[in-house]
Amino acid sequence: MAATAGPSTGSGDVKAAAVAPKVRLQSGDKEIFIVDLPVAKMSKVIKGMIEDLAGEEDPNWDTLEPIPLSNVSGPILRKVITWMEHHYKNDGPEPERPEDDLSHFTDEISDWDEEYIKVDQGTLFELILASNYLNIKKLRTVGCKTVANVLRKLSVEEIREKYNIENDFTPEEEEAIRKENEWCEDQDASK
Amino acid sequence: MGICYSKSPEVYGRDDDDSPDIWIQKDDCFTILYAEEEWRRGDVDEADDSAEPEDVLFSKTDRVFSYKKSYPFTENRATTKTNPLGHNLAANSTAFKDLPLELLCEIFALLDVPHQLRLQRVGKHWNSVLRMPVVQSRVHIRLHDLPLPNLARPTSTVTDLSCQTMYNRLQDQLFARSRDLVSKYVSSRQSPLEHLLLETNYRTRLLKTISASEDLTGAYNHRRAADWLELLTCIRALPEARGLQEISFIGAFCDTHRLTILYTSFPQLLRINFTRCIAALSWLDTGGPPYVRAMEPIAQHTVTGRGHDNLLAAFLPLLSDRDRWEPLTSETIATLHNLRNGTLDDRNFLHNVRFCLFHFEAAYGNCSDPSEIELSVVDWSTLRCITQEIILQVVNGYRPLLRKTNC
Repeated sequence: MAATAGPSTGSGDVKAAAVAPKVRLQSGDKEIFIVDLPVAKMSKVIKGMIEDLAGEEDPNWDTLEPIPLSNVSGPILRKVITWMEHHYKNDGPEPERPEDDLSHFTDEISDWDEEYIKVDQGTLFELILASNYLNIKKLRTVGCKTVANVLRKLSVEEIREKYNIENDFTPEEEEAIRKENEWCEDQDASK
Repeated sequence: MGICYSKSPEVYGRDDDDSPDIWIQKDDCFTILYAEEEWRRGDVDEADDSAEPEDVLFSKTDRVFSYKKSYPFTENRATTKTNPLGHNLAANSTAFKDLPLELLCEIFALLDVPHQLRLQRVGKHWNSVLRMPVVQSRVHIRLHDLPLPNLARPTSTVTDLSCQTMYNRLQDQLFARSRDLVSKYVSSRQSPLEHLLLETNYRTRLLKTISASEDLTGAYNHRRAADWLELLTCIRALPEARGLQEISFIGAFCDTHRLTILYTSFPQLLRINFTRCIAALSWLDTGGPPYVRAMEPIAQHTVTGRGHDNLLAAFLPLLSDRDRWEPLTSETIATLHNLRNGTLDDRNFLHNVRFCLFHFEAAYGNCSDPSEIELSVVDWSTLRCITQEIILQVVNGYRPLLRKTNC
């Protein structure tokens, strides 16, 4: 399959203007993406793979094998790269944080991310899975927040219908849970 | 049965699409045939029947997938076309099932307690996941989004003073209600609370609740420190919160008193996160509400480790972010620690406090540049040292001395 140039980084981008080495990423469906090295390193998995593949201080990036990302399809990888490029330009590399750090928790999503994540349900979940696989925490968080925000707005019945989840409770079991959480029901009457 | 051999222009209208798909449509059911090559692009082991979504009828012989549910044709739909067997072609019916447990937990952990409790009724799987310790041990409370009653706003027919009084009463009611809800949320946990996330946007809350004008919300800002103290006092009284290891403040007003209470109330506390917070030095003045000064924004800061020394660490950004403060050197810190350990003359200390307060007022009230402050007695570096000393005294529990003397 022909190599695909990564999304344009724009002529005004100072970071991209520097002669950053490029790496090739290969999606699960064999599509090749050429990406600036620092951008690719926003994924901790890719970063680790690059370090493993390079094996020396100043490798010849042009001759390195494409990095296989078998669990991510081409279209999803393209979208992930778009996200990484935007945030690399605007935010810089993601700071190192403990794995269980939850300080980013808030229901806010930036305007750009909100527009970016306006995709159908299947794509949204694929993005979450891809970001999880590639270990891009901020993207994963954006995806999870988006799903959480949807869940907030839906009633139990609407959630079952939207996500095709079977109600496997008996009426008695469901009533027992409802009773258990009765104290909270009045706060959520609309649902 | 309608048969469509061409790619849907809405789905596969992209130039880079080269997938040889055949779509067969009957009512709301799509049947999709993939060529052998496309099939092999999938990421699911053919022998692994468990990987098949339950709603997909699958035949290995002719490689036909029949999706029971229709899904919308959108431009973005195209992004899943090359992953026919991976997880999510029709996705609407399988998306949540595809998520590993850790991601499901992450999504649930983002929800407020009432939403978590409501979702327990969705199905048995969600019910069990929502009760797992990894979800239960975290509580995220959006104080500005608590279900509080709508209260009548102060009318313009009353005098400014009575309007302010009414406003304060409303705030008391709202806060009492908030405090009760937070207690209930924490008490409802079936695992010991380990991480508490407190998010505030009181201005939003107030404007939404009583349509308060800007000047009134400004007045309320001065009360927040006292409210927080009460809220934390309330939380620490709950047995479920005794093992609290981490607390995150998002968009909050964090003053030294609150941190003092945190460290003394929750001995297991290991980490405090500040996100988009206002940090402030505060100290008590003759038993009244905390006197707050030297507010600084903190975009993102995490303090790890136990004990009072972290109070200092928590406010290092405050001390070092602006030109008017030089970063504390280890030597300075050591000196100040020595001062803290009892060699201080109380009378001189209080004199210095008052001196510093006066100049704080000058520095933060009128002057943007410390060099503009007229110092008749000491130079700026001396003042800075004294101020840092006061900070340490305050954060290390010197409040009784401040409180008992009113000279």
